[in-house]
Amino acid sequence: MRSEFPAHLRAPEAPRRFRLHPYQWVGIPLMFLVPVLALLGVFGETWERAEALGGGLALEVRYADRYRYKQINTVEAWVENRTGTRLDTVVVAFDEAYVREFSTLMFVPAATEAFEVELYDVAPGERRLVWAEFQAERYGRHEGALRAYVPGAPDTASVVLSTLVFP
Amino acid sequence: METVLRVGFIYVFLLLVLRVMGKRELSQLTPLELVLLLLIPEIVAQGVVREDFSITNAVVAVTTLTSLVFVTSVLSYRFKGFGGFLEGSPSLLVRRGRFLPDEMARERVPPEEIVSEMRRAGVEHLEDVRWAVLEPGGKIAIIREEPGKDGPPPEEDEVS
Repeated sequence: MRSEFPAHLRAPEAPRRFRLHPYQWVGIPLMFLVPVLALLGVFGETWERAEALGGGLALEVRYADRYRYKQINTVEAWVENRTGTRLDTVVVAFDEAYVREFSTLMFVPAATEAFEVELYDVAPGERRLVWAEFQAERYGRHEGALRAYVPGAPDTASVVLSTLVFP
Repeated sequence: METVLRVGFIYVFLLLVLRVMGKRELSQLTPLELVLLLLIPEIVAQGVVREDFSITNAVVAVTTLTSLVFVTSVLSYRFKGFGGFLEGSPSLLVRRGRFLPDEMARERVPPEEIVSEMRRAGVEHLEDVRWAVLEPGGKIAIIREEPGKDGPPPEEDEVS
């Protein structure tokens, strides 16, 4: 049996109204705004798809165009041979200015020091995947081109990568 | 963003866990409770931030938490029942110079702790305590018998 609490020790009733200090009318909505925006995906990762044709190659790239500091994301570049002839070598080149803004964790297939990946013996109509993993190291928007070309050919398939890194 | 949902879940979970633990754990820091309070943030931090150490994630997590605390405090103030559910109600430990053993056992308050609070309040004998109340925050309030008074007027001694 619980001991009953003396009535006179209880707090008397008083009106309970919602009131804020003047500065809270500004601060509280701002405070609520951040999680609401986050729930709407404003601070989250978003992905972009870009396509280009040139030099007998079709280039399709999927990459994160917005993500946060120290997060790891991938760039997937699909290259298709549309020349009708077998190509000995196709080069997929990442713009150095873009890559330098990240710590590069991995290229598959392996890249040269100039962030170029070479694909050998690409049959007509064949699609090959070049995959890179980047960790965001600097805040802000980073831009650079991703090109696919056959060495010696005048044309290239090129797309611009543009990624915003939140602090 | 997942962080908002994670913080929300952990907040409600911790509120309920701390509520279930009882009032006493909130104000006392015995070695056991100190270990508990040190371990909870270590365990919870991983669940909230995961591998994301960005400032953006930290800002989202903190504003989510402060928003939840604000909403909880407004609801707790505005609606008495909700406040009572979250914060609990005071418990009577001593009534007119006598321990109330059932309530002391329920709240895990030993007689030594009440006597210690009596000493702090400058009360020497248990008979001099009219009420000892364990407040929702975990503190013990001592209300002494007033000398020269035979007892409270009948309406003051009513219980609810």
